Amino acid sequence: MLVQSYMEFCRYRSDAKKNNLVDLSKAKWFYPTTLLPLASFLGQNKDIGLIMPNDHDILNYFSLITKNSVPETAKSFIPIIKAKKLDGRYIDQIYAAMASQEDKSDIGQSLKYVIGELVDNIDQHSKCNLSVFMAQDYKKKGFLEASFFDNGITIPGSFKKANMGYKGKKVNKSDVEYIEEAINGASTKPEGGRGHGLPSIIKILKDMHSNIFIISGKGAIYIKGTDKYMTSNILYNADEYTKLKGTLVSFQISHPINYVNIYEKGYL
Amino acid sequence: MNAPKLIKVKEKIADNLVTRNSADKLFDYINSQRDKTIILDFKSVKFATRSFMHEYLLKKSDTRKKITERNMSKELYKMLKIVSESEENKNTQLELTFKSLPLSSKTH
Repeated sequence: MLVQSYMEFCRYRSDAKKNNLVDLSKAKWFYPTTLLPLASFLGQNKDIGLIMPNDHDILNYFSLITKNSVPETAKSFIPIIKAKKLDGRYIDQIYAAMASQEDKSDIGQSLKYVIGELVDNIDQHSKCNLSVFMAQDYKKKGFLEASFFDNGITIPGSFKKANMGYKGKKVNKSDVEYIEEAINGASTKPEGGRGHGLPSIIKILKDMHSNIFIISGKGAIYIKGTDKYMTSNILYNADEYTKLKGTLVSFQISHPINYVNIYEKGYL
Repeated sequence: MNAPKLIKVKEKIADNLVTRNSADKLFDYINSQRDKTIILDFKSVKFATRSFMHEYLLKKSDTRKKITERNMSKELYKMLKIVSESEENKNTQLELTFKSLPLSSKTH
């Protein structure tokens, strides 16, 4: 479903390029994987018109979610906020909202870890001027979805800028090859002890039975953590229609959340 | 001899230590102090990412100050230990298999 949600964004974006208009009038629901890149696209293309949703509830939701402030008390959603706000001072509020239906004993601090490392990745590598986060707990649908988007140089772009492939061997790889290497621990930074962020995030999310979608430039990856046989993982080569200027990381965790102890089993 | 300088990490940074930049900021402050001996009080600090802790250890090994940690929670200490012991044992390879597909307007 994460891939379908991203494709919905691609359709809105394609229509906007043709008609200079995004028409949300028939929208029935929004997922972060659609809404986050779409809101960023609209923010960067202010000449593009917007037709708001006809449905009153959807319109209200759209207004709330684009409010750009962290709720004071735990809600079932985190509206679109700038990722730079997600420093240590806010992360408890994010965690409280995202874990609203669950045992908050904080076993293993897995959600905090995932959010924290993704924020640091953006901070360290993206060289973006816009980075945003959004999360929604879909109580009735039984899952939680969260997305990060930044309009930076992309994961492949970061490797190309550092002029390296994994272990310095091959260069001029496809975008998806760079992404595959990044999730397996390649780093663009020279000092030792780097390259643990994305692999550890993916190991943790996978064991939390989370589906994960990452698209960056023309490469994308989908990991289906709910498939215990792990035969549904896909590397995608994006084309002109689907490529993304920037990086989107989305994950979807089913309720009840299967927290893992991040300090065990070699996650880190 | 002067008493060591006490720095409360929660007050200086936050109760969740997230980014490498936070560790840099902490050490910018430490290195700007006249005192040669620093006590870092981690009381009420709840969490640190691996990235924060890695940067913390790098900066700690670089500084001329003598640093002592105090009141680290069990979780923070575990993270410190994992990062300090893992430098030589990096195994981040994910045991995942993938099929390759195009992502185009015809997808889904």
